[in-house]
Amino acid sequence: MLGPGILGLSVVRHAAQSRNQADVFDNLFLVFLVLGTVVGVVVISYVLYSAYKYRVSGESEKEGKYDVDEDAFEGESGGKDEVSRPQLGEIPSQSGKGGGRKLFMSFAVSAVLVLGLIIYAYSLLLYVEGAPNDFDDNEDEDVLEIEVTGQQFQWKFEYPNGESYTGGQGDNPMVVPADRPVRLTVTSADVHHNLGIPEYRAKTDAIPGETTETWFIPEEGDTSLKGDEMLDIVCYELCGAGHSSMRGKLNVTDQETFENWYENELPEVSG
Amino acid sequence: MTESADSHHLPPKSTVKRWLVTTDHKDIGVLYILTSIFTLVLAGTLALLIRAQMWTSGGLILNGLGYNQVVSAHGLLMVFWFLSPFAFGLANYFVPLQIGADDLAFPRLNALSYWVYLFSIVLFGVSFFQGATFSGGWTMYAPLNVPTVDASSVTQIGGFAAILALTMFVTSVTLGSVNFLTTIYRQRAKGLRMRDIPLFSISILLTVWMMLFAFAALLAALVILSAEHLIGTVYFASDSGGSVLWTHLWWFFGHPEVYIVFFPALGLLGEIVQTFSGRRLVGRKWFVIALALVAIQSFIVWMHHMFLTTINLPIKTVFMVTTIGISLPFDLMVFALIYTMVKGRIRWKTPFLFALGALVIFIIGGITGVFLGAILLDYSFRGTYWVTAHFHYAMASAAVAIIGGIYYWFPKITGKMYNEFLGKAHFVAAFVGFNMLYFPMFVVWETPRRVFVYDTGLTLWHRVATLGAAIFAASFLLMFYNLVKSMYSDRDVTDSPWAYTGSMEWAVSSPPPEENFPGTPSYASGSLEFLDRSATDGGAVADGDAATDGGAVADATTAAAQPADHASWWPFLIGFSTLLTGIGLSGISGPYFVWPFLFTLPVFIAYLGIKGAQHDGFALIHGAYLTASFPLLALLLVLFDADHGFMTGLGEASNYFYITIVGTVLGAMTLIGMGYESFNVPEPKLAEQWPFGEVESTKLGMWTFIGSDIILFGALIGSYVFARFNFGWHEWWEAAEVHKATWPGLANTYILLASSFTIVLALVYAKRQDKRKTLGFLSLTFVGASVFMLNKSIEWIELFWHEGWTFNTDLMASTYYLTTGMHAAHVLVGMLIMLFLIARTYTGAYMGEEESQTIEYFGLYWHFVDIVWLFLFPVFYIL
Ligand code: HEM
Ligand SMILES: [Cu+2]
Ligand SMILES: [Cu+2]
Repeated sequence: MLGPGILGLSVVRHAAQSRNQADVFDNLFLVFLVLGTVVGVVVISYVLYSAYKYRVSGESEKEGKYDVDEDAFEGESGGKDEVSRPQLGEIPSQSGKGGGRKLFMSFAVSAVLVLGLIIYAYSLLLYVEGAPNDFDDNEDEDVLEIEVTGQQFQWKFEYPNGESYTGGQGDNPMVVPADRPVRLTVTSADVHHNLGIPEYRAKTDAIPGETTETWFIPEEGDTSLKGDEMLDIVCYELCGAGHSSMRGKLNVTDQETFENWYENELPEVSG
Repeated sequence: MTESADSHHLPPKSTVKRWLVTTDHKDIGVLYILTSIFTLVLAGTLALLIRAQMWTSGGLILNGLGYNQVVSAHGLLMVFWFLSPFAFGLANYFVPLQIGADDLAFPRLNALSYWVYLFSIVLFGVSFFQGATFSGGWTMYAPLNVPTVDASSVTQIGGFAAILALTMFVTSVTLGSVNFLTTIYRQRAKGLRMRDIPLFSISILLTVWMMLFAFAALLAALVILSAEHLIGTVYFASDSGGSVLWTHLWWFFGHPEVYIVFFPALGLLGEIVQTFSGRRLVGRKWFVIALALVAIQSFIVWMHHMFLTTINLPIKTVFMVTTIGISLPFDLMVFALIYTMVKGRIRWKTPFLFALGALVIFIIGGITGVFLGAILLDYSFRGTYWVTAHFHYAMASAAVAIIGGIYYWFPKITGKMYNEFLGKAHFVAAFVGFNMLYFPMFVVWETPRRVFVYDTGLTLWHRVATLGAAIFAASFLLMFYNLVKSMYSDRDVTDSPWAYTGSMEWAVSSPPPEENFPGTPSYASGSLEFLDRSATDGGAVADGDAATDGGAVADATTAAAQPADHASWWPFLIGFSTLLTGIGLSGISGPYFVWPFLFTLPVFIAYLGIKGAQHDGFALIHGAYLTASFPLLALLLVLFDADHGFMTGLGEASNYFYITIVGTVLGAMTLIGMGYESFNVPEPKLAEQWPFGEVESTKLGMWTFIGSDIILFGALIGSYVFARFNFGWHEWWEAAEVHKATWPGLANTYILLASSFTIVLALVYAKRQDKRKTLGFLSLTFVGASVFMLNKSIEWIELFWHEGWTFNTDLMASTYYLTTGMHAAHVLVGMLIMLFLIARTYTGAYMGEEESQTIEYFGLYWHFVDIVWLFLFPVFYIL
């Protein structure tokens, strides 16, 4: 339990440097994936190996019986004493002899593994949940606050200056400058949606009457307002007939382009 | 439908009638299995449509609404109407055989569960043809599920029909849970302690415990949702947490539900691995303890489905811990199964292959579940194919295990062995198809769930999945062919065609005899013996169960040597009436909604008189009922005239209105019919009944039913508290557009308390065989209830009409009317049962220590209704 815990702490520090949810996620996912695969492969192989190794064959001669004959094994090693075999008519609560220690060992090992993983994962969670507060505490960070409202079947973005517009299907993307933390305050005007920006692993529910938050730090801004390579804003909660096509776009620009857009173009699209 | 004794004999299996009237648990088990396989085919076809749509991004065959319908119906049908009933088909057949019971405790109730289940499928089927069926996903998130928000006229009727179908299904499940609990606690063979019963039966026991409580919470959610449709309450569309309220209600039910579908499979894995490894389950005790732990813990992990809602970090942390904690007992169970194989004598027969496959699949499902338990990963996985892949690995593992169970017990049920080669071929095709279908979903996990637009780079994987789906689906044809063909083969089997079987079902012939055992089974000597029946058979108890589902109470005549009855038309007919009512309600318009129920009241009373006279001989009371029904009907017609205008009202009413009336009237008549039917269910004296040795079966049934009702009201009150908390506790009543007086509630509290007292007195005098006083106190209780209802009506009329504070005025009105209305409905049902009891008492029933038990059972219900009021009064009138 200690091992993964320490590992966890060091990764936290590492992840904290790279700052973005996406990096934290990638780290964590990788660790889970590797361990999960190892455990899965080991356990499943052991299952298959055992099932193969201990198989017996033969058919009973008895009419109407379609299985081996119990009597055929009488006296064979591994018989009566070592393990206990079910017998017709016994009280069914009889448990198999042996195997108990092995059972508890495996249980203990996997419990430690799972607990370690979770402690590690939890420490990362604390970072992700705490980050928005850190932005607030940190004087240098100038957080961009955008209020997003889900509505069947597009997103409405409201910027700090009070201007807002709706964007669906590629037109009217949400525009943000690179390298500046963005905090989304999300709600819904009609039904339950879920806003996600897969690229940055930012995701939160959009619930009517409630607000939730998520954040990300956009990377690699461009001077232009992009067309095709804009990022997706996806709805992850079934919200009605148009749910499948409820895709918004995210345009990451450089600081200057953003400011230009913010001053001049935003008021135009707003309405 | 005559009452003569021989009508209760079972017609031969080749007749259709047999299958309509049977109450034999083995027949009903077979019916469940066949019906659930039908649902499997239906929901499987929908799955193929989903996969066809996913062939290319943007979809191939369906539009948005069509796709949403298919996704929703697929999920609902598979989770509810296929998976659990599939397992409960086997449970119906084998739990009594495994524990040594002649049948379930309440055979007619069992048949009723089945018919309500069957007709709920029919109702779901109908919903497809009412414009569009429900299209908001199997989780039915709010407020998309309420008509004021999803105002599309296309989905209104069909969508609601699907919700009503689910409500019917919940009813069926609740009756079934009561029945199984009573059976397992009361009817075990001598010497079989609770912990001794076979693994499959233990898993069913724990499943029905979870069902009893979880489905009651779902019922509360569905009651509220139906109220939104029928009378326009405003819970889920409210800004005071309405949407989140739904997620709490749904997942409080939903998480236990995923274990509910999985538990029977775990039990089966235990049985099959044990038999085909020829080794007793390693660590059986720990296996059982782990199962029980998980069952309890399943009720405290639900918010792991809500990590992205507004719940705060400390709560998330708690639920992360419980979620990860719950994976550990599973872990132990998996290892127990694996170590049982070690040093076994393993035969790779088809059932074993399926068990092995299920185990492998479940390991993957479990590991990927742990990923989801880590909140940070869940943030990204939520709403994606990762979740879809995870739960299909978990749930389909259950399906695969149950299919193994079908192969395992097929020879027992039919007396014939299936074809081993085809069985193995089925397994290989299914296993390959399954993994081709679902494994790619992990690879393309970034695809949003329930969406048919995806990154075109993922197309290849989606196509592999679609091909896998086709293979998986086709593999079932092999099974159907194999099983049907084998039934007509000459491969007869002995009692136990398998080696190393242990439990009792393998000690009887294949197929088992109608009476299940050659003699009374007993383990008293340390191993199974069948004792001479005549020496052990006890008296008889009547199947007096109907009181629990709002009907009448059965005849409690004791007839010691009378053979058990196995046939009754009433379950089928009652089930049919619920179908009609469901179809009717799906399209009825709000202002008409109460009228079918009101018009049914005089019919109920009149029919009580008629049936009573037929059954007990004509007496004054029957005449009185008949006579009273006419003025009541007249009064209702006058009220209807005032509400709608008589001719215009009837003229403008839609067909749905008339269908509802037919349904409710038929429902009332058939419930009375079942109540008056003499139906004999012998209860063996020689049975292990700890810890309920002193509690008669019907009483235990009543207790468990009340247990589920407590959750129903708990969830309703909880919803109120949640809404009020979100709104602002103190502003609540000030913000309401009405000022409610306290005294009507206070007065009603006294009245109900007094009526609890009078019902006790009725019981006391019934025991002393004082008919006049019994009758007097029963009537007094009835009068008390009537005064309660009268007082309530006056209050409602005042608030509703004079103050204009209607159901949808505000959240306060919605919660107040619905919660107290549900209670009033319970009072009303109690009054109808009392009318039945009064008529029976008048003609001499229920006198004496034994016979008076029926009154006692009713008393339990009545006290419960009073206690609920003791909670409602402060909550709605004082706080
Ligand atoms: C081994 C332990 C398990 C863990 C830790 C686990 C964890 C989770 C978590 C955290 C979710 C929520 C995912 C999300 O929507 O964001 C989830 C979803 C789900 N799980 Fe599991 N699970 C486990 C086993 C099972 C089993 C045994 C079943 C059923 C047989 C199951 C069925 C489901 C279903 C149906 C959903 C999705 C519900 C929906 O959103 O439609 N899980 N699981
Ligand atoms: Cu959506
Ligand atoms: Cu869950």
